[in-house]
Amino acid sequence: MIEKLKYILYFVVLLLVQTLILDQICVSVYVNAFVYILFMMMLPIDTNKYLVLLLGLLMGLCVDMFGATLGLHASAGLLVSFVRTFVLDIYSPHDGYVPNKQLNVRNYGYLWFLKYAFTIIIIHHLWIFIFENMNFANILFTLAKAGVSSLTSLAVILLFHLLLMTRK
Amino acid sequence: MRNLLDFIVKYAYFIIFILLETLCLVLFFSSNPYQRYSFSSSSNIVTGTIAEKWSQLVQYITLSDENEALKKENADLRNRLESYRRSNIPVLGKKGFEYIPATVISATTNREMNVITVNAGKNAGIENEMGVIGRDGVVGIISSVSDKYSSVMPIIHPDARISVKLAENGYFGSLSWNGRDVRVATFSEVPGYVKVNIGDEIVTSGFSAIFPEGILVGCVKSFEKDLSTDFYTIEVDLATDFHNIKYIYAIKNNNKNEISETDKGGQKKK
Repeated sequence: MIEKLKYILYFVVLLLVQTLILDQICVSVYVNAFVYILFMMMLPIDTNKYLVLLLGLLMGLCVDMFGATLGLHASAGLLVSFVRTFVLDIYSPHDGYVPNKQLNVRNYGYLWFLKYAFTIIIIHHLWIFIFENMNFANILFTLAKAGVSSLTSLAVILLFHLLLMTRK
Repeated sequence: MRNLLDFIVKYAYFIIFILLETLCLVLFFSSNPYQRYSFSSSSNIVTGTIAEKWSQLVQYITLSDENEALKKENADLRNRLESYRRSNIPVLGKKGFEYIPATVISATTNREMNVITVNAGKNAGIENEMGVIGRDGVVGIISSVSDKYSSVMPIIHPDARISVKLAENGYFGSLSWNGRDVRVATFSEVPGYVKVNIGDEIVTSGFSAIFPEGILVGCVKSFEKDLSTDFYTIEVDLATDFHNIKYIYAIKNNNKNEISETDKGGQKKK
């Protein structure tokens, strides 16, 4: 029960940090940080995969509510939930994942987390920026933006991951 | 039949994902900007209230800067009022434009589809498709209103179009944004025989009944003539600094109903 409350708290904190702080800061159009996908990344390994899909969709819809982008982040959140299963498989450690250990740097190491997070971030950002700017004349701009923003997001996600993860 | 059921059970996860994903993308691509804004904008009660509480908290930190800016604006307005008085032009009365003040509670500027939310709505007299200006110039157009909040589609949104003209000689065209730089928009449709200089002021044309004529939009930053069509593409340095926007005014046009009725009458006669 306490475990569930903790993830509800993650959901609320990450949603508010995304919409009230990160979306309000403007450094450059190339720098967009998306921290809300960390929620889907940190869900326990044994969470029902349909529930993961649903939570990803819900998180995306909430971000859309604040940003007037009906459907964009919902589709991206859903995609992150979907690819999560496969990315976890690809980076599976030698002795597999342990069900009651949180997916964090303490249990699986920094290198594992950075690989896992960066793969998901790249997929998410390309999806968002390509659909936001459906103009192939701008493809270089879109790719540059996805590259710069992915690195920014990775830094922000690592920071919030370290803040939120269970310490034991 | 058995095989089909087996197939569905085996790939249920994938099928559900595809269905939901299609639904999301259909929602995203089929909705026009106004629907998008009114369906899922910060102007609804929950997100609006959260954003307002947060912005009130943040405002304490920047309070002195804002005071300074407001003082300057006040002084500027006093000066303009004085010059009106001297020149004896009657200040527009009840039948002209009215300005409804509001405070920005949330603004995204580094996205392509940006949105600004303000803390005044229907109760304050704001309606859809009103023009919005800030201290320095045009900001955008009201796109969704609830009782207490409204959302503004800023100039820096791919769907925003504003009718503007060169202040110098009155040649008009439309202003749009290419998604790259929040300080620069593109002014097109100016014929190639017009003389354009860097630094020329660009103001609202007043054709649309949304904005009064002559409100500053920006200055010419650079221009290029398209040799095949003989039209200019002008890059405009926007007057409004979207990174730092705190107060706005929604513009109510008291003549709007009459104008649109006249339009309708004209169309009927055709």
